[in-house]
Amino acid sequence: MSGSPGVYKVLSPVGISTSKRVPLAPPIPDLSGKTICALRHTFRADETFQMIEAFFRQNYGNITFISNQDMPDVNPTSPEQEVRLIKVLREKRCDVVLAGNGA
Amino acid sequence: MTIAVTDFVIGARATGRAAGIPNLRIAAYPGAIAVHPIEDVKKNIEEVVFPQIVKLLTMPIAVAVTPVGIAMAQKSAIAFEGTFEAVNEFFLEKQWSDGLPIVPPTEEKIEQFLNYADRPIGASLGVLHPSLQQATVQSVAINAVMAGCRPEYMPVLISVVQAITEPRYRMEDVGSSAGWAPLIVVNGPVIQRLGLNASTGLLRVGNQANTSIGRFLRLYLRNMAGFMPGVGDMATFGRPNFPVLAENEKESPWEPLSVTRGFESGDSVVTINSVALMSFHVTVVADAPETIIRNIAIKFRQVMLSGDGAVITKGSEMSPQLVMSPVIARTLAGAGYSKKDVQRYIYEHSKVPAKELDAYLSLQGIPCASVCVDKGLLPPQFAESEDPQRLLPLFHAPEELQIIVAGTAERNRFFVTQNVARQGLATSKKINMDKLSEANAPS
Repeated sequence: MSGSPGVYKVLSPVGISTSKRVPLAPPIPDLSGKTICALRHTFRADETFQMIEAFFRQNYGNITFISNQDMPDVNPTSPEQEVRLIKVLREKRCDVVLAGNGA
Repeated sequence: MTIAVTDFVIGARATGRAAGIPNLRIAAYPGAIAVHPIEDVKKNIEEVVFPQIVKLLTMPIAVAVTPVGIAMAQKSAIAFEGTFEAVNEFFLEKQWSDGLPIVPPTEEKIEQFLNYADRPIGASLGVLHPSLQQATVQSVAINAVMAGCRPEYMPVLISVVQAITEPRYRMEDVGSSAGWAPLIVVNGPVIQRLGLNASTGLLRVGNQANTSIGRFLRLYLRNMAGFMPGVGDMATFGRPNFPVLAENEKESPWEPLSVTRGFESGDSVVTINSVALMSFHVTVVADAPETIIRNIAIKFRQVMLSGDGAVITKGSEMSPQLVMSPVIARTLAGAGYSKKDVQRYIYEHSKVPAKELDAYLSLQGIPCASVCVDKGLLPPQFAESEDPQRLLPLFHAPEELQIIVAGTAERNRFFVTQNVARQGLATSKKINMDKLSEANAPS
């Protein structure tokens, strides 16, 4: 307690974010010929990404769709796995990453 | 970009903001995809989700004016000034409390706690998820004051925060819809030094050290890590926070959990584990140690299957706990069982026929064990044959089972806890006792 009797001057229990603003990747006006990569293995991901892939193929020519089954786990449990995930995304030359399947 | 069900869009937006991407591309799936018929899923993806994906990827996104980060308080600034009642009203309004009255965190009070810290006020203890904030000594002290801790609890609290920020613990999953709660296990001389209850009723709210340290962790997760209900915390139902589980080392015939986990005897250690299910506190009635351990294995199997029989497919490691009263441990030890023997016995005798495990997997929408092996979700031993009667384990290796001796010395009960595979795996940190030793030293 400080100041007048019965009056408390208190600090905030929440901290300050130190994260910097990350620029959003620019839009891709035409998705034709692009590489779409899917990340997620659970909650019906195999079914939903197949549907999304089919709609991409129906609407855009020459799409490369990297299935979630050909991608590593989206939930890395160590910094090493995180590095591996980023490496794979670069190796696959993903123009678009769909992280999550709506579950 | 990401795809989230409508209920999770707020959380996804908050996570993006914390990561510095307030205008993260998020396509929303309407409703609960997990229970929609396949034709509805297809319709929703075609008519609702896919058009959003295309629009978000191809059209310019407005630059968000929202500040990045979840919390926006000023470090060391006075947030409010008022009476006890006014402070509590202010904290409730700001959603900085757990609904119970808090102790006002004044600078003078915080200073008392900092005297027990082994590092400077601004020192980082790790990065918190999903807020991506640095966990600092000061933030520990503030939330500890609020929770009703005593200043001398600081060494324990610092180790607790260090443990939860370990990547292995996956604290980002604390807000999983499974709604699990962290359980803090404490070992070593610190138990007696702080007056932690390791005996009768230790998991009841009541004893100050056990209760307030448990409360501290929930406040810290909420205020610093960003686990606000409906934002970072997506628990479908949730569970109350647990008081600390101190091992009853004086009455145990075995080495404490901390030594099993690789620390030196005499070290004070915290181990944080996740609890998604805690079993009935089962009475053991048996006239022989062999019957006791067999009965424990049977109950263990029931609990593991009744919680989430498919949990073994959700990570390459688990940390289920078997907590037994001292009299049970002593009876088993008297018959020659070491902790390792008990781990091995439970591992072997809780196995289930593949047919039974497959039935539990199908309840979770997961294909059979053999297919799980093909997908890399289970180790090869699960597909060594096609015999539906072959026996399969419910966890990956005997040493995953965390055995703890606690509770009333002469009461014959035990319980089992189950976690959600890799979410909140048991993670330990040694407690630096230097400041507590200094406080004890004669002047």
